[in-house]
Amino acid sequence: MSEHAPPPGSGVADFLAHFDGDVDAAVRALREYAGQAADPDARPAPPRKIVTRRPPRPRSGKTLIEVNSLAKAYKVGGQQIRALDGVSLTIDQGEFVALTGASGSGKSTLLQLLGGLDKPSSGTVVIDGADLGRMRDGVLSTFRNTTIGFVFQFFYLQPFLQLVTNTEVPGMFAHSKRVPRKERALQLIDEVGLSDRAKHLPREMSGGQMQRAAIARALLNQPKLLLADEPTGNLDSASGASIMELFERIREESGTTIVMVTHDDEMAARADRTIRLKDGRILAEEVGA
Amino acid sequence: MIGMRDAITLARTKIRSKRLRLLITTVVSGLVFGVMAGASILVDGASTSLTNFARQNLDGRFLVQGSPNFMGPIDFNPSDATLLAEVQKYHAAYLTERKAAAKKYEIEYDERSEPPPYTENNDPQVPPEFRKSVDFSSPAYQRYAKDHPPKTAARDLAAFREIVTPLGATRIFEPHNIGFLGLALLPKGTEDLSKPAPTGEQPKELQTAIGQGQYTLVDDDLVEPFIAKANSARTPAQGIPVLISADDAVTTFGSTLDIPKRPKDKGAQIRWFNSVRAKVNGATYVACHRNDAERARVEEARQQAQEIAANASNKEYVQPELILALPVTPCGAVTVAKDTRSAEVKKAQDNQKAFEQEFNPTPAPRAELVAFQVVGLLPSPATSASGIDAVLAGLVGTNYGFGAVVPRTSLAALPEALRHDSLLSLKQPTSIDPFMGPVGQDTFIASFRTVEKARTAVTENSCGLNWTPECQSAPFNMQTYGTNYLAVDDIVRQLRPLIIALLVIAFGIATIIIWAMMGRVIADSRRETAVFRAIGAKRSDIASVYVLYSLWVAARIALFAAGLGVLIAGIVHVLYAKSATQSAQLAYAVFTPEPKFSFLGFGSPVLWWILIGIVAMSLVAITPPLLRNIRRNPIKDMRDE
Repeated sequence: MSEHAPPPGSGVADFLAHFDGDVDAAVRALREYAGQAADPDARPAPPRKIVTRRPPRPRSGKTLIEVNSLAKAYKVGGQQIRALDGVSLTIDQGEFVALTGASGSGKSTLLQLLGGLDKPSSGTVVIDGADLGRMRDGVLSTFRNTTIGFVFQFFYLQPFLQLVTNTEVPGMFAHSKRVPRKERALQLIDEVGLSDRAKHLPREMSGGQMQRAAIARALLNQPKLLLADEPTGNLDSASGASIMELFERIREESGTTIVMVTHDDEMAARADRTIRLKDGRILAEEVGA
Repeated sequence: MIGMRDAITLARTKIRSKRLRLLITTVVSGLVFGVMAGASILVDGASTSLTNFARQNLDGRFLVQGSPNFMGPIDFNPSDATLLAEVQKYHAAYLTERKAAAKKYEIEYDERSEPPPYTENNDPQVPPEFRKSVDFSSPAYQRYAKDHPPKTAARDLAAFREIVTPLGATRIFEPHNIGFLGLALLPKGTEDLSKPAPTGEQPKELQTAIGQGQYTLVDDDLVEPFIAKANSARTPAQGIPVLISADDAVTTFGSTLDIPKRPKDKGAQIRWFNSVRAKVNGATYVACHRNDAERARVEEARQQAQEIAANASNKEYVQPELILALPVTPCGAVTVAKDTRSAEVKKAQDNQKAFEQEFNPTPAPRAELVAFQVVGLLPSPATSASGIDAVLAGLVGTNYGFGAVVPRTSLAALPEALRHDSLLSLKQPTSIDPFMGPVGQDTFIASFRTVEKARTAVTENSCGLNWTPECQSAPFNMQTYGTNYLAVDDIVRQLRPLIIALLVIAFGIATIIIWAMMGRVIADSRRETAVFRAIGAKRSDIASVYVLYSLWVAARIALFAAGLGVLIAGIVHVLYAKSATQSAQLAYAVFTPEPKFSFLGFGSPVLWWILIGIVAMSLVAITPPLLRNIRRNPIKDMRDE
């Protein structure tokens, strides 16, 4: 049972007081509690701590991501490892969420499940009303292509394609027309501040520039959700800060929801909300500065 | 699915990665296939060229010669008791007729002087039932065989026509061999019959085909390519038109027409052949026909002359009552110099002759001088060729196999006085062989428009290496005629299993190389595949990219192999085409500027199999790693990276 779960017989006001007035957090706690109550064999959730860092940013109220009782187990050397264990959360449209935690906490696994790159052992991931677990592979690929943008720690640009063509790659899989696709790619390259590098190959750019390029690529198909796995992990602090500024700007200008995995608290603090994981469970959520 | 241009764009990035590995793969695979492609181009070029020469030699047709099959009914038993009894009855009847005839001609006759119609072998090792065998040459057996023809298929023109017409023969030739006429060459137009014919090796000029009287009458269009244009020496015609070999021309006319010997150099040989043909065109010579009876009279006259000369001083020597005189003109007839026989003796001798004629008719003595005029040269490949030329000459060397040839149509156009119709129309006497039937039949020649039809005729009517009872009893044994236009094709066919084996090995080697390279490239691309999957690529999109990549690699290998193959064949062509043209001209006796020998042939399906095989093999090589890649969990690959 959660530390903040309402004890039997307590009043609603007392219960909400545990959440510093955060109704959503209270609702999530209640849902989680209800889920655990329905599953007597479930492992008790770790104590969840809510840390308020800044005044809560107004949320859109439109849920984009809804994760329910998500679990992922791997078998390693004959032993079952629970990478994720009953995670439930919701993320609103336009929200910038950071997933943090120590290595092996399950943050990257959660990100991958959010992106439909992996199948959960149990639970559901609903994005923009679509249950990823019910999608066939081809449909899921199209969904990823049009709805989700990925940014990786090591950029993963095509080494022999110019930046502009690299940016166009998601459009290639979307069968988009070449001319508007290229125009869009150039526009994005301009927006990420690399217009003078459009004809360059990745090896001719710095790490920060490559990550900007990767972000431009992720945005080509105007996704509603941007999933970033340690986007600054391979960059110096200045470049990392610049990437974070770019994320913030993207969120501000296009309302794109951003979920970012990071182990850097400084970077995480720039998100609207930080979800801290430990042992495959949500340990804490921090909202605001 | 991803658009073609976009897939090509992404596939190209694969080409630009792993360049060294790709280069090694392309070069090694390309070398393997390039050598195969080069060999294919060379073989196809050479075989096509040789076929063109064969076609030129044969005037655009393919000739098949059918010879009567020597093998008859294999169950024939010459010691069969029933057969022996039957032949014995014919023998008895024969003796009765002889006795009656002897009485009619008032000559003495003792039937015990007649040999039995069988031979006996008293070797104790021979089983008793096989000791007595029918004598096939006996008059009794020949009479019996005439009434009971051997159970062999007919081997006449009608039978030949019945076989080859359904196979597509467009023309049938019936060469008529007149070698039996014994047309003896009179080298300088003269003859000396006073001395007996030399024994041992004959003079050079008598060792030739025309020296030995080997002539065959054929239709003009069978030898049309070798008939020279008529010149002033042939207008008007001065003798029976004849085509002789170049080597016979040198031997016969070398000194009179100043014809040098065949040079060794191939190019010079071609010029020499054309020169000989021009010089010998219209040259004449004479030959003498004497039949057996006349030859016997010549011999008798010579012996009488020698005997009389030897006894010139012998006063006791009594000259024969009938003295024959040797002819005084070339090929003249033996005449009676002196006949002092009494009427009774003369009558008895005439009756004896009449008696023999009744049972074994022979023509009256005949001597006839025949003039020939050369109208063309038959091909005769150099026998002194060596190396590849000897192999080629042995393989396809032109051989019309008739000795000298008399073209019938040209012969018919001659004035009657020059034609010798009654002589040339004579048929060779035949006897009946229990295995073959009538012996002495001519061969027949069928003309086909395509080499395939000719091949069918040959393969369906020859035993080859499979001597089965069916093929042994076939009426004709057929083979290529003029030149062995099937030889090269046969060699290619014989080599086909080897070529296929080499191809399989080459494909095996190249498959392993390409498989290893492609497999590695694709395996190395797991992360890239995972990234593509993350940014929305379907499995089919990724498959498209890699299939295009594979095709791209295959195209490079195929291009390299094709280029190398053409280069190899091109070098061989540049170095050897001229010499090969000369060799082929000599082997096929084709001395026209065209065709020329080319080592470049692109019509072989093997070449296209190689190129298609490279593409197919590349696709096969990428399939397993590609399937593995696109089925893998992209996250696992990203994590592994």
